[in-house]
Amino acid sequence: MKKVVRKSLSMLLAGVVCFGGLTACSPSSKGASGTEAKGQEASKEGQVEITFATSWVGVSSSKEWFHNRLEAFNKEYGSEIKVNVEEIAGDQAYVDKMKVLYSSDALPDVIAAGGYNLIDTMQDKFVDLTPYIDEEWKNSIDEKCWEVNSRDGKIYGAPISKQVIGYFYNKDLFKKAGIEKPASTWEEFFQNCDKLKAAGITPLSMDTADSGWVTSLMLGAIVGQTEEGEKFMNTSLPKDYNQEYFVNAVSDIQKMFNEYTSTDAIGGAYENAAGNFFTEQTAIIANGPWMVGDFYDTDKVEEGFADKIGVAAFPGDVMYDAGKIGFNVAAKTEEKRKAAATFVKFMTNEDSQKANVEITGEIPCLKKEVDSKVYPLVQETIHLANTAKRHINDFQSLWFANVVDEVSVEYPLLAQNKITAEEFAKKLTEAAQKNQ
Amino acid sequence: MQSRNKKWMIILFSLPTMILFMMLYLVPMLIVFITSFFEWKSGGVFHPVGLKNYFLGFTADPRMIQSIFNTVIWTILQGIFHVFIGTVLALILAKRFRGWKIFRTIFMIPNVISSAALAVIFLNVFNAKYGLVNSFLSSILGKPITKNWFFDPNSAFLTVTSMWLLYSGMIVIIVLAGLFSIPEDIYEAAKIDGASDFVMDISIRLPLIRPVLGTAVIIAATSMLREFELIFLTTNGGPGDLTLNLPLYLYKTSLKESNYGYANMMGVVLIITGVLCVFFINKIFKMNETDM
Repeated sequence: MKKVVRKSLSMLLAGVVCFGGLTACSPSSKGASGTEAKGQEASKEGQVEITFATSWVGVSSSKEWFHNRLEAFNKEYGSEIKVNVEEIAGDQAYVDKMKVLYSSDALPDVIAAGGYNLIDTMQDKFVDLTPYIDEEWKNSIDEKCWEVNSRDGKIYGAPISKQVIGYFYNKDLFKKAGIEKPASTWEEFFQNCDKLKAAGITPLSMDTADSGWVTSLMLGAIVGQTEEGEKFMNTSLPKDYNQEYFVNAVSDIQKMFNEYTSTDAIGGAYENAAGNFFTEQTAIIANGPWMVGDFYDTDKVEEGFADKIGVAAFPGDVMYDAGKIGFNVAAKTEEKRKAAATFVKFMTNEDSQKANVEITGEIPCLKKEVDSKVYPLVQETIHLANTAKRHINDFQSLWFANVVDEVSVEYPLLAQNKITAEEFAKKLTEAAQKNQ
Repeated sequence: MQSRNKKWMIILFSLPTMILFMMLYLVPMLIVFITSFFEWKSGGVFHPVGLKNYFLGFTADPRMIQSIFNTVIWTILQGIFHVFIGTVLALILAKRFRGWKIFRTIFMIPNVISSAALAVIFLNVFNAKYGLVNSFLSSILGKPITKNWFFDPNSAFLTVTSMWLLYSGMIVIIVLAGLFSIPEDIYEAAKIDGASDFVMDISIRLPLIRPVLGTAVIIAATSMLREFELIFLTTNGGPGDLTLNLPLYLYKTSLKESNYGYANMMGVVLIITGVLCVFFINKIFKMNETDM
């Protein structure tokens, strides 16, 4: 009898383990994509359920804005549409995750990659939003923002903000070095760097890790100072970097690495570059207005730091001022597509954009001026963009992902003069040409 | 009748593992193998190309050759030096001197820290501006040292290697377990014959734990075929491709270039390298034979 019980128990256990293993792998498991799925209650009858994967979680500066807008959306559309939020911490992890989901045809219904260009990689899975965009929506958004989200006349992204970037400088340190105003030419810029250096101040915050964001912004701005450079910096997915203006700009970056930046710039990430600027060890950093909030954060900077900071256009009156990739839709059924379009329309409407600029400093992409309470430095950045002579787009939105990665591994060699500017440009060209 | 029942029980109990193995390893491995013969890129590009990916990889992609070279060097270094350090430490700890357990725990600490945390620690230790290593050297040499250990082409490879080569806590544990399983009477007999501790280590302990050493070498060497996080989070394979290994190159090819077929070719190369690695280590250590 004992034997029979033992045998039955063993078989039952084996069955449970086997069944458990199978159900754990089934796609209907919670968080099918392997990410945390934060749904609300179970969907009600007639309610369309859509999934939205986001990196606006954890320490993301957009977290507060997202929760605010999601709550507002649920109030207005909660009875019709249920948004299941899948949280993925970190922009790069988010992009990588989307690529994996794309390759297995399991993209969430709505994607927002924080400015990263996924359209050119995933265009075949993204929904053409043109039929869902009415005249009012279309006319409310700046044309250049639609442009960057469109391919062959079809709209694949709903814009939420513009990419507006200049550089910040420390007025106190400039004064100490005897500099009266930001440079209007690159020649003058380097003269200012010499003055800062002579005063014992490290002029520039730079980095090489990740995409070498701060450094690459400088690079793009130098490239964009001429007409053909400006054109290059507005070209999507360029494949040839062996251009004279590009090589010259790389030479200037090499000079900056050699003479005007801190010892931790090589291999350093954005955080190192920002940390040096916050602690007044460096006088200049290139970055967007979303950084302004940090100037008032006494956990990061000393009281009154924001008053010392000024913002300027890059020499040659160049500003990053371009549309930014917005929300993409990859829903498979018409019902979900409609629901997804309603969701992205809400998340990009005037109220959402107004909240976005107030909370995160992201510049709205609306045609009309938004009446919002923002930091003076943000307003000044917008003004600089509106009056700049040349307007360029940023490398992260335009260049192939592997080129951006190549930049970060080649910068250390360039900075230590192990490769020339020509070789750097050649490496980027080779990386770009690996793409279709 | 009873043995037939036993057979069924074995099959039944193995079934969950077999099913899980097939779903999680065998099927994906087959997919990786098959698609390595395809041009498979984003944008719906998917068509067979025969051996083109392999041909390109081994003849026209210097970065892949460099990544294989680095992977092999790290595998050999780990299989030899890492295991050597672990074995020496285990032989010392096996003497069970006062406080040996504390040392055993200390040696294990790097193995229980997450790779992400470890990478951040090393980035700070080797930081050019405020790193521990430069501060130490500056205080000894009496002049400021600002060497960028991770990103200077002359030191990058060795600095990355130093993140794992010296920390052989896992090997210490494995070898210690082997040493403690040797019957005491063998040592007693050797002592009566006048053998010193060193002679016993070389002539008795090490030969008797040969299969354990083989296992340790397999674990250490194959860990280098999977190493990813520490490199990705510190140098990202740079400067240039000086610290790029095959898993990281596979990741970049797949996720940065969206070239899945080519990345799967690298996956196949990695799997074959792993199998060959295990096969040769088995042969070298005669793992199927026993002396005990």
